[in-house]
Amino acid sequence: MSSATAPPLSRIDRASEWLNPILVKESRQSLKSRQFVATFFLMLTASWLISVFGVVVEGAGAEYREIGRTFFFNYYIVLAVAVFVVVPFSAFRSLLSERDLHTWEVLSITTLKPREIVWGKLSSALLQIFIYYSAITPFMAFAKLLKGIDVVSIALVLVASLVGSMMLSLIALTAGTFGNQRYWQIFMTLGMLIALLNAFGASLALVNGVLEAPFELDSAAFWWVAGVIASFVAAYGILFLQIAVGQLTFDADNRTTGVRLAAAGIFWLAVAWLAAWLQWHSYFGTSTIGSNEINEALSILATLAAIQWGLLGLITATETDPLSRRVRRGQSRFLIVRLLRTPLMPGGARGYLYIILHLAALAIFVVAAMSFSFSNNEATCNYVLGLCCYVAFYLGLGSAVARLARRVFGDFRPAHARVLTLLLVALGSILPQTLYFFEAFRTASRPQYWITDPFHTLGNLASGNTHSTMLIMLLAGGTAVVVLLNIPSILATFGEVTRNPASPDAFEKK
Amino acid sequence: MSTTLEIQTEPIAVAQQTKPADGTRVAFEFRNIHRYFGKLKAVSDVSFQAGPGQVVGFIGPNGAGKTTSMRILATLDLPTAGDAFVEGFSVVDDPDKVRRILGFMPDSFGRYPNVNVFEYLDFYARAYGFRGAARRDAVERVMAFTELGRLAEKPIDTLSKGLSQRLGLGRTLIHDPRVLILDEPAAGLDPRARVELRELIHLLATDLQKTILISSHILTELSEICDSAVIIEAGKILASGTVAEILDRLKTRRGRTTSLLTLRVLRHAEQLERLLLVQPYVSQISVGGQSVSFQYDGDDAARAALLKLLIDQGAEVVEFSGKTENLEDAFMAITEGIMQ
Repeated sequence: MSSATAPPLSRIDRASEWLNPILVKESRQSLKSRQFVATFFLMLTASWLISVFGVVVEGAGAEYREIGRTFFFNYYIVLAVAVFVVVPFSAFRSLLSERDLHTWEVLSITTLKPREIVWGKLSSALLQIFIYYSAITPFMAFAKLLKGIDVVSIALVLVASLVGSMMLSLIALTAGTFGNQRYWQIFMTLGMLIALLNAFGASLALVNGVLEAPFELDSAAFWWVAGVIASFVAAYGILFLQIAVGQLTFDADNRTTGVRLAAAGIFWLAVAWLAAWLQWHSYFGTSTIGSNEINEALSILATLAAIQWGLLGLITATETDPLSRRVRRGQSRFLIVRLLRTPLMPGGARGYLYIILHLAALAIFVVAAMSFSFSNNEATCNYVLGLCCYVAFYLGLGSAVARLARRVFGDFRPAHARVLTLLLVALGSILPQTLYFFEAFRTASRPQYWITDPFHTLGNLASGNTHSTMLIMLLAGGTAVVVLLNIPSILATFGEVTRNPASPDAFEKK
Repeated sequence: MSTTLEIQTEPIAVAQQTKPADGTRVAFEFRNIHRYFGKLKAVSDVSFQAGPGQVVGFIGPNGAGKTTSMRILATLDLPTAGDAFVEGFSVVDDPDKVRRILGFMPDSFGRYPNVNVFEYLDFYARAYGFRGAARRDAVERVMAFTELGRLAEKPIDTLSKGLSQRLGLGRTLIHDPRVLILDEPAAGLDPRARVELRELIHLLATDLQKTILISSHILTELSEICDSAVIIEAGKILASGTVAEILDRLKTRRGRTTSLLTLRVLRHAEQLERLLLVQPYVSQISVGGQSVSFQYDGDDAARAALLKLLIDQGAEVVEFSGKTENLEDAFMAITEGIMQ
């Protein structure tokens, strides 16, 4: 056996000792990667050309004309290509290529946790962004030396772009965790490229807008909006991080609690901001806001929340019910903690419970906010209640039918249940339309015939249809029946959670 | 080396840690493992275990369920029912603990682009939580064992298949696991690389006392390094034990001890054929040049007597050999070539 001749640890190696291993490996790879080196030098070349060409064209005018903004925008285009297209796309490919190169399985059984893997990939993207920023910074400084742009605008645009690029990279990385099949990867890659090019275009439009109408830093509205945007970016960042981590987590482990917590955080953040906005205008506002604005804000909140709970419910309420042995054994020893955590634990029935609890909270908040702000609007109230009922109804129906299918067919997976739920919504929407074609039903255009169609009925409710009360009664009744159908499973999952995690499992005794 | 390999036929209650009844340590154990992919039963009620330092050959045709079973033990897949344990830790309940003591070398070697041999091993040392001197030692130890030290700066995507397999084995050993799972490590290697890899595996078992579960289609080589073997087909275990035990059981099952004998004589092979025709236990004689092959049903004493008789009758015997049945013969006899 010959002795090893490993190169001595360099100073950089020693400094990297406590860094994420993936960051270290990918940094080493990047330094040798043609794509990275080419992008870096293309950026430098393009920026040089912009500088030289711009100065030549402007000539002596560069001394007194306000051309800094034009120069800055052109440099920004170069930067945006790198940070809004190249870096996020690399992040997206990063996880996909682990599967393509057959390195994923070996990586996944190291002691690196999924969270560390995601952080490593994200840090690698962040490092690339910083390197591209460092390349463009001298040119941005040059733009500042010319007249027409202030350092605050430059700083705000660069910080916002940094955050935007990080978010895009995180979203791309999360998307990359779903690409298990080759054919699916092709569609995803195309979709990702289109999305990133759109993001690139949007960033240019935004920055152009900002340069045309600079930030009003002394305005309270600016800081309100900045605060709201920053908090939602952070909240969605956590959500995407949790989704990516969940996707990479071992099947028998808990892949869902983090996602459920993050989604709940976003909902309560939105509620908190709206409540703060109402409170602000009630007590400290210098200008009054009309009830229309309040109703509109509540409708928007309810619609966005319902979309979020609908999408999340499609994933959580369709999971299989039993907890894995590993999750059961990892539960808290305290019954009260286990009970409180029940809606956050994996499983379809618990997922459904989690969704209906939040839908109930949404409905209560909207009604309370209307009473509080004296802007009682029956149409808005009915719309929000209808929205909550539809989400609870279709998710509950899908969940119950999927549970039945599992008993009958055995191998009925969550993906099947998701498709089934979507089909039920589609069927509910198409059925009244189809019946309407027949002459006998043409006269029956009363709203209750359209009750299964959420889009049509919600339109009626929002416009204050005279049959609204009856529609709400029908919807509430239908939803109550569906919830009742799910009650036995929900109770069973409580039983599973309340059992002492240290005690032997029921199925192990069999 | 004696074996503790055995098939568990009785269902055993699933517990978090295995505690063998006889008190001996078990390096790994499959316990009533089932794995279904839809209606396909990839693995069906597989149970066997191995003690520390054993090398177990896992043999079966393509699609027999070898890789699926190995992936379950490596915590890469979950059993539909049953459980597997590595040093008592369940792959379902404690995958993190299993991963610390188990190394898995899959059949395909994934290569990162723009990474050299040292960086590749260094990355995995970091990924297994090694820091500072420990990391450096781990990388040096593995490079020394696999003799890749002189190639430390070589990009891994330029390595030959044989060197890639060495690197793959090195990566598997980076955290010094006590149990190794090697899935087709010799596939696609040239004869020299195969022999070298076989020697490394032999060293791992004898000098470093690693427990190894290895699958391969090259059964002659497998029989040289394995203490015992498990033959699987269509997801079910057909035979297990030492190679000798499997062959004995095969003979018992056949109910006879027929073997193929070959005689090579200096001249007059046709006279030898006539002589053999009248001897007991002899059948299916064929002559080729100065060689005569025939089936012989007699035991060892009868075989010795036959040779003496032939020499007494003036046959000028140059070579008298019997074909010994090996793992390959057992494999061919036991399996039916069922494709799943």
